[in-house]
Amino acid sequence: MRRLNIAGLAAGFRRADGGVMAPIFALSLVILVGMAGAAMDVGRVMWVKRQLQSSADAAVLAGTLSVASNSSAATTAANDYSGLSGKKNTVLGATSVTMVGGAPQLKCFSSVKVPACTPGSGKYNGIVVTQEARVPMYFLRVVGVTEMTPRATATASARGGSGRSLDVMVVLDATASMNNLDPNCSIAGASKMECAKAGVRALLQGLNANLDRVGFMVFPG
Amino acid sequence: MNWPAKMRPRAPSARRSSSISGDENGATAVEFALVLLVTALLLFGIIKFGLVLNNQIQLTHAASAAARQLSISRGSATPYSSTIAAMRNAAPTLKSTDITTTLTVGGAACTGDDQTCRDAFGTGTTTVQAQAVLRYPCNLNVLFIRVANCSFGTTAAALVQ
Repeated sequence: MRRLNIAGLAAGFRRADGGVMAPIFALSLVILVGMAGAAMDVGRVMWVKRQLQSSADAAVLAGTLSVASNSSAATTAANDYSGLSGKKNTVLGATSVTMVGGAPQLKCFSSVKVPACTPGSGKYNGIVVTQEARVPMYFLRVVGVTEMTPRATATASARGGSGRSLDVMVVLDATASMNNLDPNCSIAGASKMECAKAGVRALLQGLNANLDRVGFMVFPG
Repeated sequence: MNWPAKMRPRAPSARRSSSISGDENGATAVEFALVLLVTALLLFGIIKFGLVLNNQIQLTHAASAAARQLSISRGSATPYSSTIAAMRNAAPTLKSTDITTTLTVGGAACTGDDQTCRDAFGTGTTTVQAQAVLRYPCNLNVLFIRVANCSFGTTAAALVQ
């Protein structure tokens, strides 16, 4: 059996200049693989962030539908369409998704005129969803980053913006024929005049007192 | 010229007489070729991964845009075609013919044409869900070597307004 000549090998290793590239490359490979890994980790965070934003958007849009009329239904709808685990827009690639503040936040925006809202009245016209995901890092863990927490926020209001005012002119016929019975009226037994007045009342109730301008005229007057 | 012993060029005759196995002149080139292979594999891997990731993010965005468009299409004459248009606009660099789209409204299929989609809306209440399920193929070719044939998908839901 041949004895291993350590001293001879070491001397040979010191003298050799053939393999200079291998150790340099081995060192740079660590950095290269690290960079590739970092790109994958950060890429996954970007994907999760995109999903967070999409699901937050869907959640607030679902919530605004009923925020002015039924705020608890709005909260339920926003939760249903959020990115939380088990919901309709569940975010993939994250260990957990939470809603910041625990639930969708109902808002009362004074800038939104329709439907109007007085702060503190218990009525709302807007909804805000902020979601946060925890994304585990597989490569960046080496440099001490064990997870990243991307966030996405979406805000929506019931109808949005300031309403456009309507200019309405009502002209009512007051001739004698209006005393006749109106068989097509939804109020049974009403005269044409009663029916017309009911129609004007229904119209006025549908208008917004803060926005719309209504004129009224009777003929022959 | 006085060359240091190590750098002194060998006489052409000496080079010719040495055997090819003892020749160290091309060693760096061979090493470089090996290193280049690994580096290129890594580099193209990163590029390919980036492209696929970009596709996936676009697809996620497209699904969300489709679901949103579908959710506001009640009463529209063209719910299907406007949803498909919204989806394509949201993913400009995806090959739109490769996207497999499954649209549903309240569980009823809204696929193929506008008539089917209008029927899917029916006369139901507002609490139905518009859903877009999208799939897109990806071929993970790195340096012309097919690593895997894959596809990825995404789902987005929105409440019909």
